[in-house]
Amino acid sequence: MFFVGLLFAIVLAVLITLIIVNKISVRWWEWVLFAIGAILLLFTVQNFLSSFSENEPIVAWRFLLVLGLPALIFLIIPVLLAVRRNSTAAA
Amino acid sequence: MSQFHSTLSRREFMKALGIGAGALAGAAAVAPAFQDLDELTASAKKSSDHPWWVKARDFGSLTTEVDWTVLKGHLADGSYNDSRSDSSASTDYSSRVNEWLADGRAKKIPGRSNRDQAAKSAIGTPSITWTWPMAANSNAAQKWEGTPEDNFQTLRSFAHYCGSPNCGALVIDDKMERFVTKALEWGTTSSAYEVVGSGNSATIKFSGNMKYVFTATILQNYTHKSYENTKDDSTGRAGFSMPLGDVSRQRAYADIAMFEFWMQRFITTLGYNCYLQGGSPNGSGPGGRVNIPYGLFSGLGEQGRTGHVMSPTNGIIVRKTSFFITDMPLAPTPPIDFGGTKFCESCMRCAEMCPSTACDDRKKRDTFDAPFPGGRPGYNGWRVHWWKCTGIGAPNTCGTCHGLCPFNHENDALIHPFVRASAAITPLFNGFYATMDRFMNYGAAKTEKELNDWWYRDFKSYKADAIFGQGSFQSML
Ligand code: SF4
Ligand code: SF4
Repeated sequence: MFFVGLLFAIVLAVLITLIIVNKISVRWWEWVLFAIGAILLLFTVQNFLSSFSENEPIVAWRFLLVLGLPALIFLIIPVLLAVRRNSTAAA
Repeated sequence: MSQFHSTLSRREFMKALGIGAGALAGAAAVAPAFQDLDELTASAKKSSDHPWWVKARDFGSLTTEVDWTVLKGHLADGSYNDSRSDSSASTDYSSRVNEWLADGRAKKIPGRSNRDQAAKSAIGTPSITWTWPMAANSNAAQKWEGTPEDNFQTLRSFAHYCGSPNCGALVIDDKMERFVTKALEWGTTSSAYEVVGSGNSATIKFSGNMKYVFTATILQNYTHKSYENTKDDSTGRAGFSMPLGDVSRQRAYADIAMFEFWMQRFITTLGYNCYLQGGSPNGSGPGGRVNIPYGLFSGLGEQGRTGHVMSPTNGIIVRKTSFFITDMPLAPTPPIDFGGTKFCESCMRCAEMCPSTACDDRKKRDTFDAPFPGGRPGYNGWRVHWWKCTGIGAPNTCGTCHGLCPFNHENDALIHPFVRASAAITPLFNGFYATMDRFMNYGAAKTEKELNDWWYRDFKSYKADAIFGQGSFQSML
């Protein structure tokens, strides 16, 4: 989980830098949705990896379905919203 | 393998039947002196090593309601356990099990091949020369004297070293006396204890000072037990118990024997008398004393649907509450509430897979009577239909219910403490959690490949083997 956390922090730092550098406007609720998605994603990864250490491989894969899918939806929706609004604004 | 092993296994298992057993053991006239109980209970509200979401209750108050005017330690006929079973079912079931095992041997079927069956029969309890009541070390220079709290901490610390995850303590009073057999009596002798008679009719008389009970949870290996699960597609319930996984039950009894052997010697070496429950004064005789109520009243868990102690962190994979009666003053620990019995109302994981339909499937507890044969009236809880359960040869041929509880799960995945804490706070999501437990595949029967792969598991990543001397450090990453 240490490396997962490290990777997550790097991705987040890159994302925020890109947003600031490119002056992309992000609404507060988009941040909230993204934060929920990110927490859910971390929770998914933790449960996924730990289920293998609990000797429950099938459970591990089902975590991807049960928690991972909603996590992705929460992550993708604000990104799509922000991208669409910014590209409309740019046009 | 010692004779003791098989006797103990069955006896302990039988205790799951009801909350109480044993004898009323005399009348109030022989009750020990409890004038300092209030002081003790007031000073020791601190509970055992439970997580933050586990609430301490008042002393003597369980989440299973007890009617003390009705509850007796023994059955209506005066016996301690109802040893009858549905013998017609037993004969049929055991002959089918034997055929199934023979098939496994002949065809080398994973999980029940010769090596699997050998593993099960190899793990037995070492022969130990038991001394049920053991005298205190008389060397005054070696005596340990502390406050009741410190004494409890001393025993708890040693017990953890010896393999118990959680311990408790209680003080014998006229209610707690009901949970031991007629063979034990308090307040009838001036010496710490006195053994009267021999064999089945032997009794042990204790002085009023022998009123402290130290309790300790001993677990069965949950991960390994999952290799026992099978499914009978014709009934949708569990099939025969897979020998490879049943090794974990055998192992638990061996662990219990060593644990109890060490603990009793520790207590007596510290300078206190100690009676180890489980046997007779003379090595054979009246035998069993119930362990479940002492686990409940000392706060090691709540009573689950199967009648067992259900621990907040280990569910019903608790194999036994070991207990030790001593004159070492111990601060008692209170009963607990972690939403466990409430969870059982919406769960049914154990009952729905019970192959003999012995496990109670009433949704809610609704009677203080014993609705099934072999049960005891006097508490509003779930009970096992004992004749059906032993009728299929349990515990040797079944232990399904023990392995299916959602509270059993290891705590590596964060979802488990999350569910546990949430169930303790509100019962609102209990039904959903139980449904998800099924959906996620917990407690499913292992495939032949998985059963075979156990013999070739990666020792570095498989965390369920208990390695002597390792503690909980990782072996090697
Ligand atoms: S699952 Fe097996 S051990 Fe448990 S109550 Fe049913 S028959 Fe008895
Ligand atoms: S499996 Fe479910 S019903 Fe059975 S003891 Fe555990 S929580 Fe209760």
